[in-house]
Amino acid sequence: MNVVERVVPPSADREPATPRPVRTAALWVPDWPVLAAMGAEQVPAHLPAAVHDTRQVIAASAPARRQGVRRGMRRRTAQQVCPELVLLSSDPGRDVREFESVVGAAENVVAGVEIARAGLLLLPAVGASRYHGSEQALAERLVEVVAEAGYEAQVGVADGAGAAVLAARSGTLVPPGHTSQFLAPRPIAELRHLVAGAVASASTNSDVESLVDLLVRLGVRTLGDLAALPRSDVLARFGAQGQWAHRVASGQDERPTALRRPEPDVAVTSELDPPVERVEQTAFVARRLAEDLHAALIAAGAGCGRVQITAATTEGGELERTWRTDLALGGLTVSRLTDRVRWQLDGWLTSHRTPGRSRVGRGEDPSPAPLTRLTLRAQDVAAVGVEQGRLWGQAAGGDLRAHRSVHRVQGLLGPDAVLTAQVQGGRHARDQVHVMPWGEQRPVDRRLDAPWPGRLPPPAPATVLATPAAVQLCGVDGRRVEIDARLGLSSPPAVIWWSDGTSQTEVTGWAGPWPVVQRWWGAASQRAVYLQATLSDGRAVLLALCDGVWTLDGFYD
Amino acid sequence: MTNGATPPAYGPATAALPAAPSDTLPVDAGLAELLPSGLVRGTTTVVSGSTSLLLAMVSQASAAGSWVAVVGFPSIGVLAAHQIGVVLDRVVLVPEAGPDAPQVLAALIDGMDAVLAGDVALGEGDRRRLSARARERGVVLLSTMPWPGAQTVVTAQRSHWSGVGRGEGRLRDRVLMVNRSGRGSAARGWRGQVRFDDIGLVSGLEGRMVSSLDPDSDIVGIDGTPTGSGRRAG
Repeated sequence: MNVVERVVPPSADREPATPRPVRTAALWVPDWPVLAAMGAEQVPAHLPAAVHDTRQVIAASAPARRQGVRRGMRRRTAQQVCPELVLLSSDPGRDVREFESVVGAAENVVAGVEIARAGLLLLPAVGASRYHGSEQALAERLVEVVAEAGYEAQVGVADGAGAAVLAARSGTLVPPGHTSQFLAPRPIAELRHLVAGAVASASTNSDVESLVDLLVRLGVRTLGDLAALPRSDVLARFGAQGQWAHRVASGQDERPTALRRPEPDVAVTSELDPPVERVEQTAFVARRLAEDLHAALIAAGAGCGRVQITAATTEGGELERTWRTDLALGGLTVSRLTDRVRWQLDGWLTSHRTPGRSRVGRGEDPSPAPLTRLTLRAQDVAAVGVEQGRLWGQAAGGDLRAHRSVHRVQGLLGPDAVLTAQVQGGRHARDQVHVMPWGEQRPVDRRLDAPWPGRLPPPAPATVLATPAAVQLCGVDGRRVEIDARLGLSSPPAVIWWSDGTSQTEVTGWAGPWPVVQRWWGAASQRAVYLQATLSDGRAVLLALCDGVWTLDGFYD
Repeated sequence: MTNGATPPAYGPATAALPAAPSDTLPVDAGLAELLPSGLVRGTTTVVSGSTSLLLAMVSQASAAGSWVAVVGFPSIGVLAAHQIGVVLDRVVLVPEAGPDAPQVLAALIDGMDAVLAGDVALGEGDRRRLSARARERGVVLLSTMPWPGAQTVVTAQRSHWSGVGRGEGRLRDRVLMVNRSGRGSAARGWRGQVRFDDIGLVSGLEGRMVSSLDPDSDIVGIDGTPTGSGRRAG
């Protein structure tokens, strides 16, 4: 199974491996990211422009290339080489969106195009060329319609998608059966054009790069050389990557390295008529939808990394929640998916205090409205088999067991009662922890890799009170300890009075005070001063002074 | 700072098959004397008086790939756990187990490698059944509440913090007085001090066996002189 392929094959076109792969045409718009960016930013076409993704140049327009700007250059180098260079930021979403116009135009000529990446289209050539008369006519027609859309394109036709992509780079129509001759003299480095561009993960790109490097160093310099090696040896030495490369080189690339057209996410929708308002009805709806989604994913041979559940209410609002599914565990089974959807619907339909459960509700719950439409959308869809690594071995087994048991506990207590935590950026122990219900996918509020000056020093308190308890910190003069704007204490702390008002403990030492002033410019400003204190019974506490009130933030137990 | 998976004190280090489940969870070498046979799978241990000590006990196992469930700790310091070395990706938090606590713990025992039970509503019979289930599934059960039938009982008493003066410095190192008693290999009591460094990692311990564990006899103060009564921390 090829690791490089991110393919979700077109549903009906799963042909058995034939000796000669199907004639495919590839439509290539050179430098697509730059063209899309220039179109979006209204940059005149004659200016040299390049697209930059904060690290390096990823695409350059023809005028820029003439001046010497190349992919992989740093910004400064590029500007040195070409001072009038217009640098545009990379935006894969924009590339895909703008490509729609080209795709639409191409679809007028051939039905059923497949987008390999923004800028590269694959289409089955057999039927279309018969319709248009010849492959030459088809190619000309395609170039014409894309020119009407405003872009210059090149078309290549060959046996198999890989060869077609390479043919498109030179605009050749390779006669049937001559694909291997066409491919033989091409240098190995052309393999890099077959990776699905910005859509593939960085690791895939670098995998192919390192394979190309290795092959070149071993003396395999052209695709013909690679095709001459026995395939089993190539597989043994270079693994799945090598096998894929060999297939391409010998002109037997049956399946293209393509990503399914991004527009139709695998999604299923169900109109709920009459609107669902009782918890008991949700089980049935959830099950049906989960089965539909599961069947759709199976038909596409894919699994998903996330499932987005959206519901429309009778009041016109929309509720949405995204759940992470574990691709590595073989995706979600129907029953687990059903459970997730059912809990979500339960959550949306009921208030938190249900009879028989003493769960504490969190925050206010909007009064539940009946649901009229339910949509399940699978996101991060990827071909199953790409993530084979973790299907074997003890670790994977343990993870599966753990997930299942957590799932069961969520069934008992509800999804919000089982939490997972992540460390994020922040200045004190509460800020630095991001807690969310297990399975939910929510991005962290604060980046961990940013510097956070003024962070409280370690160690972090091992007990952080959920709600800080009000205490009183008194100094040697018997009065409450105040801290002025210069962080001076009014008197050395001597005694801490606990929240019950009657017990007190002597303070033997203290450190700080550390101010934490966050967002002073906004409405939600937080100003607090922290003090670490050791007590006469050996404990150490973290105290906070906020708005003139001392609170106990945590114990260092 | 102790690091890396050092084999338990008993027996030679064998080149174990990578997938073979061992019968103990790895424990920080600094705590080896406190838990002479390590954290044996299937046993129940009570660790009371110090959350840091509890987290330090499971940190090595968590870093090595074990799943840890933390049930009934609404105020646990997650950041402290992270600093001690617990891998948060494999931690499940259930702050409130509610009245269904026995079922919840049973479900977690089925899937986790270590279960930390704090403030949960359990009766005597529930506790016995959960211990039995843990033994069956080979899961380490750690509790901060008293648990009848626990193989090891570790009680943290007093701490002594250093690094804090009168307005200067910050909390740094800590010395925690710990007692250990129990059944089987832990029947001979142990008393000593566990040292934590300034991030919260265990940096060493020293102590000695005691023949009978009398809470008031033989308690040695921080400065080495025996004191009459020991005040419990927290």
